[in-house]
Amino acid sequence: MPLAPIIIMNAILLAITIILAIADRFLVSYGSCKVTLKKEDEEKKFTLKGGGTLLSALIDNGESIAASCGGRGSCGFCKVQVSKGGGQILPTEELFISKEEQIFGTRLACQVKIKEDIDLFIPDLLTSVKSLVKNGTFDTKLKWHFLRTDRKEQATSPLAKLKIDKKDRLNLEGIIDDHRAMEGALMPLLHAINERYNYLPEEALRIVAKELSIPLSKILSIATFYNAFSLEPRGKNIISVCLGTACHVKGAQDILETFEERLDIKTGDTTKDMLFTLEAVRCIGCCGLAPVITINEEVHGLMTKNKALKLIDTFQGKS
Amino acid sequence: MLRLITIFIAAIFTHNVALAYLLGMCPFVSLARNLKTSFGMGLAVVFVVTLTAAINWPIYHLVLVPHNCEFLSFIVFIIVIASSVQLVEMIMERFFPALQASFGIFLPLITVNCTVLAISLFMVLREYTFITTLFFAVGSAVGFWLAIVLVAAIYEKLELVGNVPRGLKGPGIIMIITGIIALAFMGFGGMVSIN
Repeated sequence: MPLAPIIIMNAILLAITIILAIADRFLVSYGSCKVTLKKEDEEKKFTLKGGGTLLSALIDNGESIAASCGGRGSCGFCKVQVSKGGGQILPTEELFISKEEQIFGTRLACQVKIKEDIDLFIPDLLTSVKSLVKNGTFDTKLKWHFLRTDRKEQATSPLAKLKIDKKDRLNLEGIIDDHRAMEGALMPLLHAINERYNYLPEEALRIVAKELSIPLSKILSIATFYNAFSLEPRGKNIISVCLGTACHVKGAQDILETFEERLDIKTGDTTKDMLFTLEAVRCIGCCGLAPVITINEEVHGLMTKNKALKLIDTFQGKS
Repeated sequence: MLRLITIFIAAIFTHNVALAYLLGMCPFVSLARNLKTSFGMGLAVVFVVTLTAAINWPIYHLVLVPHNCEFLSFIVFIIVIASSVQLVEMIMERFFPALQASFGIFLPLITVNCTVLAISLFMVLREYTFITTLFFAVGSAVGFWLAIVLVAAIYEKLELVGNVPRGLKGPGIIMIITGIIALAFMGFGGMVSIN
């Protein structure tokens, strides 16, 4: 039996193993690194040898981190916020970490390799739930949403409701798909979006630009040209007061001022409860009814101050 | 020198690995949907193919041939490819993190791309010298890069038009595009020959 092939095969394997082992020794170790860990109520520091993952380092130092997949990046539970060190976000993490979370430096601990000093923060949901249970304030029948304290204000303001979430995104993609194959799809598409949101959210326009491969500047040039579109969030009911010649003579300025006072906004603005937007327009085309206003395309003629106030009341009563 | 250039051009056009031999179709079909990722993938292929061919040639001719162990070539080539990709990844992670980030997940993926093994086997089959092997390897890899980028670009444009029949979306239409481009590449046929 010839021995040469066996010896050669083993020699090659040995050589490769030695090379890889040497490379592993000199390339993958990073000296000692300092990890600074902040939690809601405590701060911890520990030093360890670099090269391993952040998840294993945290577990070795007695932190409890949920990682049901065992650090393979498939469960997405081991989220931590890395503020210093840790490098770029990896494609394997992008599945689990939204754009919003990326701003806060959220990473999957199992995918972060320790190569330098790392500062991190663990948002501690578990302890807040524990304290709720302890105080007896936790009710299992209710649905609980946990908001970050620094984002609470944003989440409760009416503007936040207009933010495009996942469901809206699908909806939007549906709208885009409906118009994709059309010639000159942009105008009807913008109309559809306007109908859905009452204004053109910047994020939506960006998505449209990307999906249809139209430059954003071109979309904006159309969106800003037509009066029907607005880039600012608009109220549920749009009040347009005619300031054309005939209406002006009949005292439309007074009507406009009445609205401004009653709604406590300036012309062109939207009330804080997102119910009304006040606009001044040029001729509506029915000067016989002057002074005239429209609310949501509905024309109200021969306006007086009292009539204006009554109209507002009926719309406020409706909603 | 003329022969080297001939082989280089032939490897790109007339004997394109992806379009004439239909090698490496798995990453080809799954990645040719996005121009950016297919560009990155093609670049990584060029890198790995050249490197492994340059390592495999001396191993074959200086170690295996003198000891009459040519039959080991398949397994040795695969091991060398796998370990050299590992090694390159380690080196890049340490010294070129930006490059590593842009190659991303493609580098380990290429270990199982049959284009890489095929280049090493062709070089043995066609009895190339070391320099010829290098030219052939770079040419073939650039050919693969060209093919995947071409198909991805066409696929992206087709997506915009949006009237691909539902059943053909994804792999189906990519295979059709690949076929049509392969036909077009056949036009280069009489231009140069690899032998």
